[in-house]
Amino acid sequence: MSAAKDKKPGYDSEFMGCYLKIKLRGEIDHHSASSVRASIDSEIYQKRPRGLIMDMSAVNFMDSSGLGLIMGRYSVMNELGGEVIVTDPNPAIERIMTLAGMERLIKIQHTKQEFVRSAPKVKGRRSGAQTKKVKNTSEKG
Amino acid sequence: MRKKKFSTETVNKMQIKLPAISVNEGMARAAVAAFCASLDPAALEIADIKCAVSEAVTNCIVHAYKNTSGVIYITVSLLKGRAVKIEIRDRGCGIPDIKQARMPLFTTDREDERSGMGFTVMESFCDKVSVRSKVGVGTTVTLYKQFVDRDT
Repeated sequence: MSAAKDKKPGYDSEFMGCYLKIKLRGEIDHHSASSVRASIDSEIYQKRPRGLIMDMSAVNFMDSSGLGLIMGRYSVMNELGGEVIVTDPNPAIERIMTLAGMERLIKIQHTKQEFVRSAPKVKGRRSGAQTKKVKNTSEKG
Repeated sequence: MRKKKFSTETVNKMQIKLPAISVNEGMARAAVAAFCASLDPAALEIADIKCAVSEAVTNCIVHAYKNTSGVIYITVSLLKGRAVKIEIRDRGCGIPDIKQARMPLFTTDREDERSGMGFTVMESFCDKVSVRSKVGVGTTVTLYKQFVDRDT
């Protein structure tokens, strides 16, 4: 089954095997957290994933409303017997999560390096062209 | 707890008024960060300021005015010695017990998934936080932040 990506306001979602991946975007504050909460919960109850991955790689700001958003999703997933993993928070976001002691309940993972190594090349021709460009611009001694 | 003395000499000042609606949380952060940028703070220092201001402004919207109409008054003073003083004032319901309100995880709003970490975040990311409040009159939260000299 291919993973279908849905674009909704404030986040993208992708169902990968038993995991629901939510890629949040931009700033997470009281305003944006309120607008995405119900939508994310609706997807969780619909898809019943084993785990929820909250991808923070595209989030450039988060305050304690974001902590509430994550903890709320943790409560929902906990109710369903699942886990929450937060991936790729920037240093400021990781700091606020640590301040709240969130790492005791929720896994925080930095996965970008792994993704670069293992990501499949979807557009093979483009990668080939890029490889050629690198060879042409390299200096020969 | 470190006790730091801040200069009372103001180098520059900005005052803004914003309607207490959640869409203005980002505007408040951006306006304060832009004004503080003239002191050339480090990226993490500006992130601290934005986060602390966001907490204070959210408190005005969610608690002071309880999502009804109101105005948030923000005064940013750039102080001599590369420090900043930010006052966030409201004319909302006021805080009956400031000590209790400042306790980590304490919140009066359970329905909206409030983490109760607002004041804790402000206190962690700023050098000094003072709160003055009177029930039925309003609240003023004052944040102080010293930007570190990056040449040292």
